[in-house]
Amino acid sequence: MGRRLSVLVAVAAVVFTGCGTGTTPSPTVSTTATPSPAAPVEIVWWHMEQPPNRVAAYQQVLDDFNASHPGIHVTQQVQDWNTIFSKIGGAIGSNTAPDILHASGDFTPYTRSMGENVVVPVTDLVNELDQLYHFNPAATALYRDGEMWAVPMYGMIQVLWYRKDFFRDAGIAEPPATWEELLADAEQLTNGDRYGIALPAGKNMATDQVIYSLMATAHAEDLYDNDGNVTFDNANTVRAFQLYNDLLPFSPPDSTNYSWGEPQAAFNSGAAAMTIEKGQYLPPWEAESGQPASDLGCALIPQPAQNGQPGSIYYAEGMQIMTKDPVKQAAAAEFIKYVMQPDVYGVFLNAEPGLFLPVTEAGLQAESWLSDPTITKYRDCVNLMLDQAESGVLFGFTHGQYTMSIGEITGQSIIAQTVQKMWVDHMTPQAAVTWGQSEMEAAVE
Amino acid sequence: MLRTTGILTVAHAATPSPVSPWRRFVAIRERTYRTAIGYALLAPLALWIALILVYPLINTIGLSLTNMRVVGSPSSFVGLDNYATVLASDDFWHGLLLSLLWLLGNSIVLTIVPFAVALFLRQPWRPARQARIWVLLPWVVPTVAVAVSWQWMLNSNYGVVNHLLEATGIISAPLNVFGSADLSLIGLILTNSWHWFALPAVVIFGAMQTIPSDIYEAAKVDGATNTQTFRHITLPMIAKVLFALELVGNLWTFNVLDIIFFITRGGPADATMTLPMELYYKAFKAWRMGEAAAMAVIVLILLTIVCAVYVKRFRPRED
Repeated sequence: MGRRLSVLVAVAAVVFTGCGTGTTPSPTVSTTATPSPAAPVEIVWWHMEQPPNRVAAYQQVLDDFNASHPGIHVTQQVQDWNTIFSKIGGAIGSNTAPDILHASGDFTPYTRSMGENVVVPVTDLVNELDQLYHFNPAATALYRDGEMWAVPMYGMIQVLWYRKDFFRDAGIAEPPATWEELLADAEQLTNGDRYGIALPAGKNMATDQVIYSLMATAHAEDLYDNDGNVTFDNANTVRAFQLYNDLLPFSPPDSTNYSWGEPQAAFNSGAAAMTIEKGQYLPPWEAESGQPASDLGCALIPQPAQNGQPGSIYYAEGMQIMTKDPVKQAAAAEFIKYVMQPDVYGVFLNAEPGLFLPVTEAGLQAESWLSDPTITKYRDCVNLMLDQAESGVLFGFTHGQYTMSIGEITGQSIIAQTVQKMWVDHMTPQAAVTWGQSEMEAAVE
Repeated sequence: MLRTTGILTVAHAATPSPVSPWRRFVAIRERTYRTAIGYALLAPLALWIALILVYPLINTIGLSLTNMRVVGSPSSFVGLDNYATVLASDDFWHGLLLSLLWLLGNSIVLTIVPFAVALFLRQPWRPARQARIWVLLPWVVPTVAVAVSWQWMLNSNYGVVNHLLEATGIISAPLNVFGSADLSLIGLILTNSWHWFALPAVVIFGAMQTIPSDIYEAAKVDGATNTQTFRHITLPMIAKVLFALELVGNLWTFNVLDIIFFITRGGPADATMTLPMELYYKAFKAWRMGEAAAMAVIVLILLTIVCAVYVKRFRPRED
């Protein structure tokens, strides 16, 4: 009886919510239905956060949620970014898709492209959470295409990491603030034992991200114009590639195979003095480098002295709801609302302290997040990342754009391929960027 | 009428006795039963082969005639458009060229090294006897471990290989093996060969062991040199094994994806983008499943033709 009632409530909520928005025939997730405690609703959550510490932290959140919500039982299933694109297609085709799926700016358009109503709009849920906790607009922008297609859960931003010990030894007082200083410092810090900077130049997403951060500071963050045409080939992109080309001689020679892990290993081992990455550098710094926390420096992404702007690549990962069952939709919404509560949110974020940043104002103040030892120890760098997040952008989602085809470009790492054309095949930056433009146009055809 | 002469008795015995219809029926029934049992026993295997071989093949051909992008997404029939697109693309021909270089390099290394190792293993010395066990180690190591190990050993910053080569004065600056467009394919060929050389070495060694020793002794008595013995006795005696080994080995090698994926992912700048890698990227990175399927069918046809020519041209004579 209780379950029937809750189904009715959920359906009613869906109907009324759908009428309220009036913009789409798709059902919108109810934010009010409460599943019956007598019949636990099973919710399966797929995410791609594989490191054991993240899985363990998530499990703690799940255990607490399941204990405090007897009517809902949420389980996590860890997936792999390398296989999720094909796996989710099969899962949707065989009606075994998860109820909640990890969301990312360029992944959600992909799942939406799998068919009508595959992803359920969550506009009302996001609005409700926004009223309570106030989302960072940069985070919600990645999922807004008429409706909201996912709930942003945490942000990640790149900054410049530098080794203060090496800077001291080289007599460099301040970290570079401009491209010109970055290049000069990289050159000065390169000697027989180490390289000035560790840059990825492999055909991978890591390379895409680092050069995009530099592109963003040169007003080259837009890959598309407002009509959806690719605009990669422009003077600002070329000058960012020129800088990368100038910096790579001061990066280890095997940078052409570098992804995320190698620059961090080079940096922590002392083989490189600088690198550009997200906040995953904080937790292992002392153990891997043997240096005190005070020797880990961080700075905003350097920008061109002429015609530059603050900028960096910004990801806001989230959760998209896939289930068509209104009761499950309500249960999934309940779980997401639970996670976003400030006293729980910090536990969720500190699955990877320093890397996962709050996407709500309430989260920024949450004691559950701030009390983590890593956040406490590196508070200055955490604050700097939050400052950098103010100017965060993501390809395909700049200036209000929502580009469904961005996955075609990022999936093939075409920006990284362009770097390789320039650095490995010795094309000029202009020729490489022109090549990249044609590849992108072919990809989004 | 009975005859008592021995000859007639024998002739009588050789004449087939008339078989009754009942016995003929029983014989036919038994034969049918045996045939049915045979087919029934074969059926699961045939069904399994159809399931894992024929169905995917037909499905791939079907896919290649559609414009499917993401796996499982809606698509429509486009005829042979995908084949035309693939054959007109530079990526395909670039991948084919690299695949042929990859195959050639591996074939050379995986012929010379296993032969040398097999000859070494045949020696009666104690180290050779012990080597028969530990020579298998590279083959046992998982591919991902091989990839990671060689990436580290050949790393230009802290790799032991570069360190040794520099220390001995062979090179003056570290080699950026997997990061260089010129060296990466060679590095991959050597890594792959290191991983797989043990298998053909042991097979060749096993084949050599089946050659009777008295043939070698006779050759020695006749004054044959080592080279003559190898050329006129060893090689012909193991020709059938070599034929099968080369055929299967080359097919495997052509289709290798894992070690390339783990180490270079087709890079740098597509310098190691062999056809299997190209196919993978087309299907799972560019999400053009129809084109990838067409590429797979073309590769299948190419390999079938090459195999047919190889079998016809190089199959050892039965005599």
